[in-house]
Amino acid sequence: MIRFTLLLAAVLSGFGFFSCTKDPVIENQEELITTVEAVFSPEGAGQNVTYSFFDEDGNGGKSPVISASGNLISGLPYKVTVRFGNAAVVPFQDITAEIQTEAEDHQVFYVFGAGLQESVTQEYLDRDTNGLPLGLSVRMTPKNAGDGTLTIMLRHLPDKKAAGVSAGNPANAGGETDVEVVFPVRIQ
Amino acid sequence: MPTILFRILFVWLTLIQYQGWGQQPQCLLEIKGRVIDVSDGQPLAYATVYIQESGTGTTTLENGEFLISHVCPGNVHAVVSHVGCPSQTFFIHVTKDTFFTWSLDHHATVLDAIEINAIHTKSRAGQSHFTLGQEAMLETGSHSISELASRVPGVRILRTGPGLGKPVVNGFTGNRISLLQDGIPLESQQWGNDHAPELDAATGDKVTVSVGAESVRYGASSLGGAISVEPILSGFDPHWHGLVRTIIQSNGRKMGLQTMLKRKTGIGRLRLTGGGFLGGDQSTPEYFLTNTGQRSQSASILLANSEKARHQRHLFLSYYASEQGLLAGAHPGSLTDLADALTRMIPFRTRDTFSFAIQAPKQTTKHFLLSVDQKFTLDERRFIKLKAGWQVNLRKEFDIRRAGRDARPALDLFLWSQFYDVALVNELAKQTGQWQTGVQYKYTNNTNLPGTGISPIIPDYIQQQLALYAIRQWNAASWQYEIGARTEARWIESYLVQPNQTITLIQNKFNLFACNAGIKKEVSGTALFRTDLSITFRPPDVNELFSQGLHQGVSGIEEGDPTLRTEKAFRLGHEWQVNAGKMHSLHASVFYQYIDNFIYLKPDSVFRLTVRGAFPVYKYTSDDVSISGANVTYSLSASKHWSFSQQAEYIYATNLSTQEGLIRMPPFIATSTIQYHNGNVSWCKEIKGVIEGRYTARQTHVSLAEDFLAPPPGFWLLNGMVRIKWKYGSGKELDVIFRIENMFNIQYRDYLNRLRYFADETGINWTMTVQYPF
Repeated sequence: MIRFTLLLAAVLSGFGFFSCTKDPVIENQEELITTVEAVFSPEGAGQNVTYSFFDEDGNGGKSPVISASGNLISGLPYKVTVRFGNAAVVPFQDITAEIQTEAEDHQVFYVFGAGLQESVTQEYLDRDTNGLPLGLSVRMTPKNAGDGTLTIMLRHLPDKKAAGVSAGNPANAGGETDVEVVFPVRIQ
Repeated sequence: MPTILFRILFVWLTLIQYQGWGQQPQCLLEIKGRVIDVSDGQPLAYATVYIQESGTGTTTLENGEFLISHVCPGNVHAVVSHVGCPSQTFFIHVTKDTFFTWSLDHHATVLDAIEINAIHTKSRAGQSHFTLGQEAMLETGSHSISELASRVPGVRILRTGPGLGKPVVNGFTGNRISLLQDGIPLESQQWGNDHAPELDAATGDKVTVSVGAESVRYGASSLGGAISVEPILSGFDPHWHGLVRTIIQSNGRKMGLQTMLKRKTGIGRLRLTGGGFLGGDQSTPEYFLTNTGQRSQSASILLANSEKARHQRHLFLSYYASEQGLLAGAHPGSLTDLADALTRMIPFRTRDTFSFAIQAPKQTTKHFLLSVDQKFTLDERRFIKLKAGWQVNLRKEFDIRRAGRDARPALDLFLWSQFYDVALVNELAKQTGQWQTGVQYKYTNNTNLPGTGISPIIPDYIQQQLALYAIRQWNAASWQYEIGARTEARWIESYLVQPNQTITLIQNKFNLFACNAGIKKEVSGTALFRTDLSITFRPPDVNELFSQGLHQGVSGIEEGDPTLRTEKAFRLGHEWQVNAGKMHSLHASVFYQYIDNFIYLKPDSVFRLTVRGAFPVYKYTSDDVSISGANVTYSLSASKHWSFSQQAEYIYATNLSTQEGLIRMPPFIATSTIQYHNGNVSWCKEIKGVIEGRYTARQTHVSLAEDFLAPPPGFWLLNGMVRIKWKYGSGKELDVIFRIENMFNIQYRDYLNRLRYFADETGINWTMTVQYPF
């Protein structure tokens, strides 16, 4: 009985120690993609058009800011360069390099939505070590004028050999979507 | 060299011969005795008494007495068995003719001992209880607590792939079901539907499933029921006994080994267990479920003082670790991925070949428990029970990530907890009842370990609970009554990381209450009636208050609501059992639960736009719901060898504010079982064959707007089992069990499996279990 009382006393006296406070570490969200920027540079005379997406809080409640600096001109071939970045960490982190390094495991898709599906031809300019497209650099030629949307998609671990995937159709690609942003597009 | 071997063999053989001859003439002792029922001391007629060493046996007479002659002096194991009670082994040292009285735990009536598929029903006045022992583990070929518990009527499994599931009791799961190991509530990350319990049933000897609220004893988290894994503290001899069990499974090429050793030593009773499982990709009838491999290990040590000691105490130490792969094609990164996956016949990233490899996405868990149990006997009728438990739970979840971050967990949780329960138990005279009052304290500390690179979905928190409870039981003739009440205070300190990278401390305090009352009437041998009433207050848990983030496996953003209030559940349950003669038996139970403020995840009407596209937002919301259900089991003992049983269960759950069904509630099922059992075969000791057909209906009472896909259609499954028990040598046994699941290799999807969005269920599976007890 004495031992029991002692044990109980030890247990009860322990209560004081448990009420410690915590000091959580704020995660450095190095993987988050907050910024997507696609620059359309005309091959020849003309103005660059930049489409950008910026969402400072990731999955949080703040709405992203989506903008287009101008309109595309039909008949003009553009060299498109896309960049991904993370503004949640300081200094700003360029994620494009990570994707370049893991070229075999990534592919960027450019899908034009309603009204523009047949209006733009595209051609991948970069390849991974297996000779399959990566898509950080693409040539696009708008053919007809019109209004619509452009969805830029970054897929991680897609099946690049599936039907239509290397031509830029994500339908059979699978994998995990890391980026999927939609821009309003006008072709003059 | 061969000659030496021959000589050794020869010497060895002669020794055996010699021993055999040497002992024969001395085996002239007689054992006389009596077998009685432990509960009332009444003699048990027609009980079998069997001496393992000599292989002789007999049956008791009407007065419970027996006589066995030609027993050799020395150590003897006597196995005593009787219809309707688990057989028990008594270890005795015989030097002269002796008279023994052995008592069997015969649970008074045949009713309680109704045994269907190795499940024992033994309900208290306030609660339905089902017990599964080593036999059930053996016949199931599984040590998963979910798989075992799912054999109890009303218990199902909510899965996230093969081998990854948590029990659902009468429609309740997660935060509403308590899991107990050696009487200590298992503290782990209960909130995720993809989190299987970090517990191996083989660290115990029996699994007890309480269907219905057990909240007076174990608090708010047992609102829907409790499942307890415990070692049995009896049957220890002064030498080693134990068992070795090996399990081989065709689907997933799974193999397992389980060992248990027990003996009485100088310091007390010692019991050790150890084992593990290893399996690779499982397969559906048509393709492999790539990356569904799993590994697990467990070990435990139990040390108890002598059963003759005045103060009973024991110490229990348990370890469990697991690594589980998640189906590669079931990890969509966006709604587009999910939409693509939903239309596929075969999941993305399915490989054509089998593999044991486990890659991201996967999860690893580790669990440690140390528990101490002390029973201080104050006098003949009063004792103090002290229970203390310390636990550590580690969970890491790995996602597919860029730049070699696959090896870094995306979620890394460290939880530790301590639990204390001190109770004074006062037995009333002549077994007329019991008083129990106690105080419980629990402390839980959860930390997100840094280095994941991802904002955690659950904040760091400290939770403390202090509770007082009292339970009173009466026995009056064939009636039993029980009432209980509990009051609890719960403090939660949550450390939230705000969007502006600061930390805010939020303190919540909840005052809780639970009570229950039950009546049980038993007409010996023919009928049982039981009814229970209970009220449980359950506070919102940390995930319900503060979840924040993308739950990738479920393609949705989950958000907690810090303003949620306590959920109040009212339950009414009835249970009946009627036996008509020795042939027919009917067991039925119905329940009704009304829950005020039932907390659940509700899809928001607005989608949230992120860099990965638009995501549905699920918010923890509360609404009033009603859940009712019924389970019916009819069994027929057609002859000495043949029996048949038919079981059906149904749950109807409605959100009272929308009048629509609740999501993820088990659909109707009906199971028919035909069993053949023969305990007197010439070529082996015992043979048992079971064939089981199970129909699962489509869930129709559900709100389609809350789900990505309509519930899958109903399906029929056929399973079978053959068990052969061989006897060889002097009382040694070998058990061999063949099980076959999904015999016709049917392609189907199960509503309660999250994988149903992506892939079919597993196809045909053979299991062979061999058990060698010694």
